[in-house]
Amino acid sequence: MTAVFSNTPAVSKRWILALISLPIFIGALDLTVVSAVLPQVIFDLEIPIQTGLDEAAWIVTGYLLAYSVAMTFMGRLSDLYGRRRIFLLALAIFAFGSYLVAVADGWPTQLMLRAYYLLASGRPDPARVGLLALIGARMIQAFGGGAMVPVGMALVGDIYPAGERSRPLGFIAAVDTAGWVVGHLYGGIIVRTFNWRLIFWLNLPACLIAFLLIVFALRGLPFPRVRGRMDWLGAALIAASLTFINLGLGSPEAGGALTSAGDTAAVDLAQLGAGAMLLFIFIGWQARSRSPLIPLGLFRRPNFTPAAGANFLIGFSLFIAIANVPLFINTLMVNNLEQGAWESGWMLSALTVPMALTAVPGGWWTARRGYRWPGVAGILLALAGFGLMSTWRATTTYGEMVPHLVLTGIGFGLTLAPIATAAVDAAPDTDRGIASGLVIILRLVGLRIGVSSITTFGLHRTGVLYEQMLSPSMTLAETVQAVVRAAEIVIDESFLIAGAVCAAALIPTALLARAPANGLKGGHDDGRAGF
Amino acid sequence: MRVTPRQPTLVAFLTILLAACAGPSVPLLPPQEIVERSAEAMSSLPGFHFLIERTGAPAFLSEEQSISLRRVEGDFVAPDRARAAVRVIAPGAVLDVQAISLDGRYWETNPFSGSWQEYPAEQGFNPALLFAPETGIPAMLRSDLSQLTLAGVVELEDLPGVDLYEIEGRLDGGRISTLSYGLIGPGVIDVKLWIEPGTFYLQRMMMQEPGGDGGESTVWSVDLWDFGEVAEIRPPDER
Repeated sequence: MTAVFSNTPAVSKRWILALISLPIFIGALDLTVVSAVLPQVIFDLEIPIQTGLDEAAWIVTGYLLAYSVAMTFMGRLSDLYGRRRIFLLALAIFAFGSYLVAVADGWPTQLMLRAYYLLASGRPDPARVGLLALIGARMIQAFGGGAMVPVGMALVGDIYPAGERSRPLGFIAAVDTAGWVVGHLYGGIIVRTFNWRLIFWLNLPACLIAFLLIVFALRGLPFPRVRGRMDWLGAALIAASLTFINLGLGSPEAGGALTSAGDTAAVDLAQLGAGAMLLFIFIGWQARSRSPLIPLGLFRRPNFTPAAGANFLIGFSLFIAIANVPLFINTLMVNNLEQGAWESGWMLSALTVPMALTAVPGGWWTARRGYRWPGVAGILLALAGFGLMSTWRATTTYGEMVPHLVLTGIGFGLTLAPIATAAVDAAPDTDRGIASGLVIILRLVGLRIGVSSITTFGLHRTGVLYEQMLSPSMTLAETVQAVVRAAEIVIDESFLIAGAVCAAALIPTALLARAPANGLKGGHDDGRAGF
Repeated sequence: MRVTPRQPTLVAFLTILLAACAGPSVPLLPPQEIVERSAEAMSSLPGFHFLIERTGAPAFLSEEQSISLRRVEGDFVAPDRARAAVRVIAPGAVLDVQAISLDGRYWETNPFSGSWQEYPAEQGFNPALLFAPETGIPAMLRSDLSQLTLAGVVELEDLPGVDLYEIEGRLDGGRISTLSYGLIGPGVIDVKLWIEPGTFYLQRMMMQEPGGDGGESTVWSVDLWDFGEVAEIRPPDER
C-alpha cells in the first residue's frame, strides 16, 4: 500500500477538525439519546411491555450493531475511494436515517403494511410493523454515524503529520465519547418539552450545514491515493460475525419474557456460536490478507491487549449505570414518562459530567505516573460507587443518589485517558487510526454485551420474583407494592453485577505498564487521547 | 391470415383492457338480502380469526377511566369458544392480556406475572359473546341494522384483488352495548360492512360512535379472516 499526498486543504486544520467533529458528535449523541426517550417511544408506538420489550431493545442495540459494523470497514473504503466522498456519503446516510426515524410510524410503516398485504394474508400488528420500521431506520442512521468516526480519524491522519496526530485523534475520540455520554440529558430535555421525534428532525439542519461546509472545506484536501483493494470478504465476515453475536445476545429466546421466567435461556448459543465461528474465520482471513481491515499485530504489542480488555469491561459496567439510573427513576420515582426522561437526564449528568471533567486530570496523572495507577484508582472509586448505588430504595432521594453517581463518574473519568492512551501509544504510527477505532469498537461491544446481559438478567429475575411474590389473592395495592419491591431488588442486583464486572477490569488494568516504555510520545503529553 | 409475432401480445392486451373496462362482474343485490345472506353464512361457520381495533376517542375498561381497550385479536370457535390477546393502554404502559372463553367459563392472565386467573364470565371483555351466532354480530346483522344502502363494490387496500360489497347502515348502540362489555355506548351508530360476494362472509365491519359534545368519535373496526378454521381452544391448565 503506498500513499501519495497532493494539494492543500481550503481551510485550516482546526476548522476541518471542528467540522468533521460536529456530525460525529451528533452520531454518537444519537447512540444514547434514544435511551432517555425509549419509554415514551415504546408507549407512542403502542408496544406491549410484556411481549414487545425484547424487540424494542433493538432500537438501541440495532444502532450499536450498525454503528460498530460501519466502523470496521468504512475507514478502509475511504482509503480507496477518497475521504471527502465517503465522509459526505456517510453524513448523507446518517441524515436520511434521521429523517426515516422521525417519520418511521408514518409512511414507512404504511409502505411495509402495503408490502405485507401484497405478500401475505391476515393483518399484521401495526405496532410491531411500526417498531420494525423504526429499528430499520435507526440502523441506517447508525451506519452513517458509525462510518463517520473512522473516516474522520483517517482524515486527521491525512492532514496532520505523524507526530501531531494524537491530540486531534484524541479530540475525535473525546467528541465521540462526549456525544454518547450526554445523549441521555439531551433526550431528557427534549422530551420534557417537545415530541421525541424533534431530536431526529433537529439532526437534519445540522447535517445539512455540516455537509455544505465540509464540501467547501475539504476541497483540495490532501488524501492518500492507496493502491490496494477493499477487503470485502473481511468486511462481510466481521459484519456477519457482529450481527450473529448481537442476535445471539438479544434474541427473544435470550431475553425471554416476564411470563416465562422458568424457561428463559441466558443466550441463544447457536447464534453466538455462529458469530464466534465467523469471528475466527475473519481473524484467519485477516492474518493472510495483504490489505487487512484490522492489523492483528496490534494485539501482540505491549499494553494494547490489556487496554482493550479493560476498555471492554469498563464499557460493560458503565452501560449498566447509564441504563439503570433511568430505569430506577422511571420505575420507582416518577409517575409520568416526560418527567422520568427529564429527571433521568439530569441525574445521569451527575455521573457523566464528573466523568468528562476527571478525564483531563486522569490524563495529567497518566503523563506523570504512567497508565496503571490512574486506571486502578479510577476502577476502585467506580467500584465504591456501585456498592453505594446497590443500596438504593424507592424511598432514596435524589440528594442521596447524587454523591454515589458523582463518585462512580469520577472513577470512570479517571480510567478513560490512561486506557485509551495506552492503546493508541501501543500502535505504530501507521495503525493509530485503527487503534483508536478499535478502542471505541471494544467499548461499544462491551456496552452491547452489557445491554443484552442486563436485559436478560433483569427479565429473568423479575419473572422469578413475580412468581415468588405475586398471588391471585392479592389486592391491587398489594400487587403494586410487590412489583415495586421486585424492581428494587432487580435494579440493586444489577448494580452489584456492574460492580463485579468493574472489579474484573482491575486485572487487565494492573497489567498495563506503570509508565510508557519510551516516554509519552506522539503529543500525548496532556494525556487526553481517547478522553 | 398470417399471424405476426406481435399479434398474440396485442390480443392479450386488448382482452385485458376490455375486461378492465367491463366493470365488476359482481351481481348487485339489494343490501338487505346481502346482509341477511351474510348473517346466514357467518352463523354456519365453525370458526374464524378476528381482529377488533379501536381508533379515535378512547374506550375505557375501568370506572376511573385509566385503562382503555386498543385491540383484541384471536380465534373464535362456534358457538361459544374464543381465545384472544387483549391490548389495553394504561397510564404510561401498553399491556397485552391473554383471555380464554370456554363452556361458560372465562380466564385472563395477570398483566405482570402472566399467570392465569379465572373470573366470572360476565366480568371481562369476552369476545365469544360478540361473535356467538344466536346473540352476537350474526344476530345483529339479521335483525338490528336499519337504513341499509349499497354504496358499491370496492376493493380494500389491505385486501388487494378481492371485490367486496360495501354496505352502509345504522345500528342502535344499546343492542351492542352489552356484547361489548359496555365499551360501545347506547346512541345511534353508523355502520359500514364489507361482504365478500361469493361466500357472503363478513370481511370487515366498522362502527363509528358519535363523539360527545362535538368531541372526537370512537371508531371500531372488526376484521375477520381464516373462515372455517377451527382453532384448538383449551382451558389454561391444559395448555
